[in-house]
Amino acid sequence: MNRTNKDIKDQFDFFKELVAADKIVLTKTIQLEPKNSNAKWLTGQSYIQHETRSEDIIFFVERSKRDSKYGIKLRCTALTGEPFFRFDSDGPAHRNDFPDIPLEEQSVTTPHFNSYNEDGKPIAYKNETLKKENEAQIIIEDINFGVSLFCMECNSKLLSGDFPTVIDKAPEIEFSAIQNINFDNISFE
Amino acid sequence: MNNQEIIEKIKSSFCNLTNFKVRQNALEVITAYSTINSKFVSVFITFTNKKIVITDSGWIDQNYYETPLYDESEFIVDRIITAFKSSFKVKSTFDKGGVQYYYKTCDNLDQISSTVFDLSNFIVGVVNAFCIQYKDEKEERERETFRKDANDYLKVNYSNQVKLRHSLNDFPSIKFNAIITKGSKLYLLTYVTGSTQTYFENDLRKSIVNFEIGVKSKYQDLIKERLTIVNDQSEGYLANKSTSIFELLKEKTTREPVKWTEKERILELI
Repeated sequence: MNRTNKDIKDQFDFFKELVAADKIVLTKTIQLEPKNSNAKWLTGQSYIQHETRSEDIIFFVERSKRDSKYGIKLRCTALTGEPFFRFDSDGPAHRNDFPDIPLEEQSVTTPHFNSYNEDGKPIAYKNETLKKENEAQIIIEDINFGVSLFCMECNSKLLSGDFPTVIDKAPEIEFSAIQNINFDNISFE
Repeated sequence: MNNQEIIEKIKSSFCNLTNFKVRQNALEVITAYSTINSKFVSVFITFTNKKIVITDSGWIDQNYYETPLYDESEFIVDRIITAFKSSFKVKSTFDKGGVQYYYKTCDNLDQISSTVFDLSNFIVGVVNAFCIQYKDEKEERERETFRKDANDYLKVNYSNQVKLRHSLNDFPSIKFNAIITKGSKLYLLTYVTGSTQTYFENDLRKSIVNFEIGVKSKYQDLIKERLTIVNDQSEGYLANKSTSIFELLKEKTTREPVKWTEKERILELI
């Protein structure tokens, strides 16, 4: 399976500019609403204003209704159809499949950021905050800490200098937020 | 480096790749198995109903492995899942939220590693099966382009005398690519194309069968010509390799197949 993003490979300077330059998140409070395409997820979004580029950039926050997993991503369809920068609070570890990386270091567990290298290959990484287990735990459990961390990592903030706030709907299913699986609900043979 | 050192190095890398997360009610094993979309498979161990249950925590069903969605793959992926479930003796159940859990149970601690091994292999297989696009896009595109070009050519030259994807009344399930009516005479046409020899020859076979059935129609006296238009620009067109099928086609048609690069011949014949 060829996982190279050709759009990003071909426009790597544009990609770098999108991530690195200062950006303003235009919505102060992002309200999560049910996602049309997936009943188990809530989603919210805001437009982003880039320092030098005028292409539409959208900031997405999505949260699973049934566990605490959430994701944050930046999308710019002028660059590529896929999100070009992401954060995953939970879910599978990513494999940075490069021969120069020793095998045991190829696994990057969640929470992690997802970006691309100059060949358009997806790469996952943890920044200094995520490498510290106790700080990573706080990020996992609180979507607003996650949003702040994400904004710092991709050089985005509100005009006021603060970070946007996510207003999260109360979980509709009786899963407590930090529980991953409620085994009491399931019968196994 | 001697053999023993190489062995130790590989063993230690493989072992160190396996990681864990202690969850509130399960132990997540981040296994050393990875999928073709670069995800490491996780399985979840929990103790419930006096059994040890190893599950995928609903991650396949919730698409936590982020596999692409190909509508036309559903049928084949279902078959793959059924086969893998039976091979690895994996069961599935739904939680109250409607999420499907794949799981295996074991009776004692000694069986855990083997069960983790099986469920991990199962997940790798299923996730990889979801990653593959089974529809041959190149073939679909080629077929669609040729069909459209041929249709347009016939429409330009025969306007309302041509009916596309049409059948004879008495054999409604046998569709010809085009039926042209001139006066009381009928002209049956089929198209043959393909991005590979196999696809091309399948089209030839279809034409042969259609014409064979066509001559059994009660309208057979009205059928003036049975013609096949072959896309000689397609990669699957290998006239010297498909000779026997071409020979059979010639028996079922009234003329030599018309090559697309010589399409003006159609106007001479019809």
